[in-house]
Amino acid sequence: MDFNLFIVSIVVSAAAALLGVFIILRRLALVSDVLSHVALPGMALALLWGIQPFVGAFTALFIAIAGIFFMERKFAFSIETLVGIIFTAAMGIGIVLIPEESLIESLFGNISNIGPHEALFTAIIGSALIALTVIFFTKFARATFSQELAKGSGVPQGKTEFMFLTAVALAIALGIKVVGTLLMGALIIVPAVTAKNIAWSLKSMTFFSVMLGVVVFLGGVSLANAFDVVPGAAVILVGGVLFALSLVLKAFRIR
Amino acid sequence: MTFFEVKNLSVTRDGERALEHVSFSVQEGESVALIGPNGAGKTTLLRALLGDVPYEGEIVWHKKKKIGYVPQKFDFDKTTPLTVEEFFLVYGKEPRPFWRHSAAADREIRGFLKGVKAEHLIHKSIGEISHGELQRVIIAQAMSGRPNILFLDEPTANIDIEGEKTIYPLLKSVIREASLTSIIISHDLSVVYDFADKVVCLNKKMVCEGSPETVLGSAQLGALYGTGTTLYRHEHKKK
Repeated sequence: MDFNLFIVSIVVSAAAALLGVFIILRRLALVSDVLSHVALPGMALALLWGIQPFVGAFTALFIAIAGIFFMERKFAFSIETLVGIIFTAAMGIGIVLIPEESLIESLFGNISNIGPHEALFTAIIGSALIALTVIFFTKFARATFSQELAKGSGVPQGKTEFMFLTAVALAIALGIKVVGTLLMGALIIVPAVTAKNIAWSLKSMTFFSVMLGVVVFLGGVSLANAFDVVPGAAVILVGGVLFALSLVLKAFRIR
Repeated sequence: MTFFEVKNLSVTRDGERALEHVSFSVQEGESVALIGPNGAGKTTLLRALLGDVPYEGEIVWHKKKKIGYVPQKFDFDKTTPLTVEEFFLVYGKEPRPFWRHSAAADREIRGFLKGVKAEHLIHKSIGEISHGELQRVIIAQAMSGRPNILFLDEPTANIDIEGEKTIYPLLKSVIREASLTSIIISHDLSVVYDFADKVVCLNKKMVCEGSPETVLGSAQLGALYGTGTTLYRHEHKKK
């Protein structure tokens, strides 16, 4: 495997799987899945104007997240409703704007042309994202299990929530070029759900999620290289197999 | 000495008055029960005291407050892999590093759990333990901030009767040992009788205030819950 791709794979999958732990525990699985589609119009405009797809994707995601955050507070919509509305609109805009030849790449990702600059950029941003998530882990966890208890603790919830959503946006924007918008959501969800099946504590779930994320990604990308298939699809298939195995383990434990 | 005073407190939520012109005071070390029908504004009053909802009127604290809060419900996914120890690391009042904590922090957490007879649960997942055990853990968590006042919002709402029998004596001893002031919301009037030094009855407005003996007379209860309400006292056996 190409060194640049190797670095990008590890950083992207670890960051996504780490944030996935909170996404799953908050039961926001669909939200992350749908949010990744929001990146599409951002990538489209980036392609049209010749700027970095990452910048376009992150900008679109950030606007969507800020919109969701403020509308949720102002109009008391549920987060799922808002994401549903913004998602379909974004998908529509994206498909209209993206030139047809780039559409497949945006939807399913491309691993063939990761340059050294891009790899370095992804490594720096991704590592910073992982470090910040580890540092703010307790804060994110507080808001995850009980809003009631988090309130009693006197920590302002809005700020933590906004930080968390921004972190998710960053993770999605980092991975989207490689796995594409359709499958990025699964990169966040699948390792965390699989880890939850076999974990006995939050620490173990987090550890397993990150490990599984990296294994799934590297495994999928290697398979894609070997058999010349779409990388995003191969990654998700490997994830699906490991998830099924975790279910078997879980069934034995319950027995 | 007066701990705090509530003066002419009103709260409006979603355009509706949830509380109107409520005034009372609480002495240091006093156990106060808030009673009233559903929707009477009891939880809203606790929220106002916590500083969680905007209000009109005044809340005057005569002492520096350190609140321990046991919320009405702690809804969470039963399949969540979070151990009791991790629950303390996440929701503890003093920040402790989550990934690696010291032996001293561990001893401290065990100490708080011991106070509610739940030390053996430390490595259990919170999804595995019973409602009663979970409630004890949450009480220990509220105590971990070393509060001087404890707010309890229906502490036995989700617990079976067996669990309920153990929670109240436990709470009583916890409160006595730490000489806490406490505010409790309860529907069980016989618990109120045993537990409280003072009762405040709410039905959006203040309906009555006084010792359990005077307030729980049938005339006052009638005014609060409708006529014909009397208190049937079932004795909780003291061990």
